[in-house]
Amino acid sequence: MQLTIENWHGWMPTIASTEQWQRWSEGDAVDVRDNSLDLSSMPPMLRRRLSPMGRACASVLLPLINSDDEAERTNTPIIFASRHGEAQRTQLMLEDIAECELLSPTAFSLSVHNAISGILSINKKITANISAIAASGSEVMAALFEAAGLLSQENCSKVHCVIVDNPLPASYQRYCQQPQYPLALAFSVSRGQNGCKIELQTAESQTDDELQPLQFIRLLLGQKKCIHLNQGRAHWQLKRVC
Amino acid sequence: MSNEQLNLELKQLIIDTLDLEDIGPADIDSSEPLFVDGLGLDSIDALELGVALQKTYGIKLSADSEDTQKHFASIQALASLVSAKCPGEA
Repeated sequence: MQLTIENWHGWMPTIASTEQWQRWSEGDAVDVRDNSLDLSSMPPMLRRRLSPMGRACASVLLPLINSDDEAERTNTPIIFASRHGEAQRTQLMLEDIAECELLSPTAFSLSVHNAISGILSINKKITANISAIAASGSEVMAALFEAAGLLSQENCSKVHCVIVDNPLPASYQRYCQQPQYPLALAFSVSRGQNGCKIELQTAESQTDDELQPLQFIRLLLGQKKCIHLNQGRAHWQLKRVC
Repeated sequence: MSNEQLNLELKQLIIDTLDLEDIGPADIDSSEPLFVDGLGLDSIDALELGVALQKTYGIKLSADSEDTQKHFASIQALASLVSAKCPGEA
């Protein structure tokens, strides 16, 4: 199976531009103290509904959507993938329940897995198909499969994918320490000729502890020509063919 | 507490509860509509404000009552409700 990645944007604290990602891939340290994101283009009444994770998501996805023309914006499906979703909001609500406090209707409505994509679709007036998935750490592979399925339909020529996660609240850290930093990656997938072409093949199992979105960024940067990603019991090799 | 103080307290409650970034009490007109046209709050905000009133003043409102709509019309209307239900606050 071959897919084309037309464009991508990644974000970690202090890393947003391709040059910064290039330096990261060469081993520069990540300074997690600087968490600032500029979302001044979004109306404040909508922006207030976005958690830090939602803001990270917007900062990588909106540049892709903004470069679409109007027809593309209406027709381009979006796949939102996050392993843990808004775990922080859920955790705070569970604490409220434990203390017999009233639950916040806002926190409840924004804790669901498709809340961020919902807010962004209101912001950009997107009426295309949007799905929200979780894949236990295999979010890049799950999103690529979902995209391949959508692209097999005649009327679909491009799909936007966004992978986003935040470190889990302290009480869950003993179960899962990944990710250690907030991380968001958005990319556009097509069957076209313009972009980075990637060949997907089944492969023998190979372990790589690095998070899937970070491995995928190394592939997109060209730092690696080939990566191995697992999806449950299935193992895949992703190779640059451009 | 004077009317002025209660109005200020309610404005601050709305700003804090509803995460109104970049808005201060002075930006909210006590007689302007809170929802849609004026401040621009929406239905989720209405539910959140209902919970905040219950937590702060012990006032329980019914979500589908027409009276509730009147109470939520403006800061002044909310202040009248709080004064009536909690005489100690005004």
